Parts: sequence; structure tokens; C-alpha cells
Amino acid sequence: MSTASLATEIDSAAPRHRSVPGSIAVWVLIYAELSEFALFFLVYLVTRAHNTELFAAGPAQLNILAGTLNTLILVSSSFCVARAMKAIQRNERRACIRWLGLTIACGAAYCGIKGWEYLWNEAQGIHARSNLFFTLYYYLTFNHLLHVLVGMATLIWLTLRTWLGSYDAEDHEGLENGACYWHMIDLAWIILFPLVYVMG
Amino acid sequence: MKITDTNSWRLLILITLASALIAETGGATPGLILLICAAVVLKGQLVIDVLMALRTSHRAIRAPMLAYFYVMMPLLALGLLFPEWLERLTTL
Repeated sequence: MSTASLATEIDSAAPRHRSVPGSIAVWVLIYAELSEFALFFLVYLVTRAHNTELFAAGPAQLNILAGTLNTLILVSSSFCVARAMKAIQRNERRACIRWLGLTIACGAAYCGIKGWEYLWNEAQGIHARSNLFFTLYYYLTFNHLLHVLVGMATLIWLTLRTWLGSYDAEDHEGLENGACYWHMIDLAWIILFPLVYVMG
Repeated sequence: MKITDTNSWRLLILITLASALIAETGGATPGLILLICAAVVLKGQLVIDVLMALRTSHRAIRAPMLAYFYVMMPLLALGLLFPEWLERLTTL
């Protein structure tokens, strides 16, 4: 292979490599997390198949308003983090920090609503040991809540680093890693909400 | 057609509200289960392609993400629509 053709090949391969947001490490983490959620969804499905009447009655006892509000909040937070990425790509650091702040606020609102939902459940006499449906409901939603908390802690750290000037239009891989992780949290909820709250 | 991130967000909100309306109106019939599963696939694709901006990314990254929704949701739909079949399959 001539040097010229090798150079052309490298040039054509370079943009493809750059088009992957974040590092390979974060994608390994994202696939691992999504596999974990997939396993939980399958466990839910198999348990439901063995307890159809119990699971058919389950969603009607849940706080649909809390589930819907949290879905709207998470979807909006994904939009905010996407805008933060656009802002840093244009070197608009202040705008990026504003959007990241909004994303963190959405995460905090999600946690607040989840807390209210759990308290509401307590008032209705719903506990993790009430029946198999609620055991899985608590297991899935609490596990997701932990991911939101980890995502929020990551975004707070990344906001601080952006404020300190660690990221700009050319170098923002760390920010992309956090944004991709946050989107993953949203993707897991996109399946979890209809599965548990709507279809039962 | 190129969907902007703002339009994608609006569409995601609309689909979520429609799903909530279905949840409030009562039991999920087979038709509604299929509709909701299709809506989830659409929501997943919007987040992956538009908000995560993976549409132009390397296919080794984008394909598994899309496959998660295109494989998982039909599997969930089958499990929800034919629980007796799944029960037989998973009984020791």
C-alpha cells in the first residue's frame, strides 16, 4: 500500500472515530448498565407470567401521576443535557453550565417526586413486601433512583469542571461521557415506566 | 426529514402524555400493548438518534443501542401478550 493511499484511508477513518461521543470506557459501562436493566425487565416478565392476576391489578394501585411527571422530567433532562453539549461545542461555557444546572435540577425534581411517591405508597399501605408485584416495582424503581443519584453526582462534578474551564469546543470528552450516561438513565426509564405503570 | 432536538423533546412529551392517558383509562388491551411498545421504540430512537446525536456515529455504537429497543420491546410485547406460553417455558 502506498503512503498516499494509507494517508487517504487514515483521513477517511478519522472522522468516523471522532463521531463517537465519549470514551469507549463509558460505552462499556452503558452497555453493562443496560444489560442489567434488561435482565430485570425479563425477570419482571417471567414473574408476571406466573402471577398474571396479581400483576394485572398492580398498576391501578400505583401513583400514575408521579410516574408520568417523572417521565416528563427525565425526558426534559435529556433535552437539557443535549443542549449543554451543543453549547460546549460552540464554546459557550456559560450556556453549557446553565443547561447542566437545569439537568441537575430535573434530577433533583425526579428524586423529590420519587420520595413523594414512596410516601404516598406508605399511606396507601403499599410496601415492598405487600406482594410480588410491589417487590419488583420497588426493586426496579429504587435501583433506577440510585442510577439517577450517581448521574446527578457526576453532572455536579462535570459542571464544576466546566466552570473551572476544563472543557472547551475542542476538548470535552469528559462532558460527553457524563451526558451519555445521563441519556442511558433516561432510556432505562422509557422502558420501565410503561412496563410497570401502564401495562403491568 | 431532520428532527431538531426541540421537536424531538416535544414529540417525547406528547408520547409520554398519551401513554399516561392510556394508563388512566383502564386495562391494557392487546392492541394498546402493541401501540405502547411501538411508542417506546419511537421514544428510544428519538433519544438515541437526536438527543444523544448517534445518528451519524459509528454503527458499532449506534446499532447495539437501537437493537436494545428493537429487540427488547417485541420480546416484552410477546411476554405480555402470551403469558401462559412464557409460564410453560419457564416452569421447571
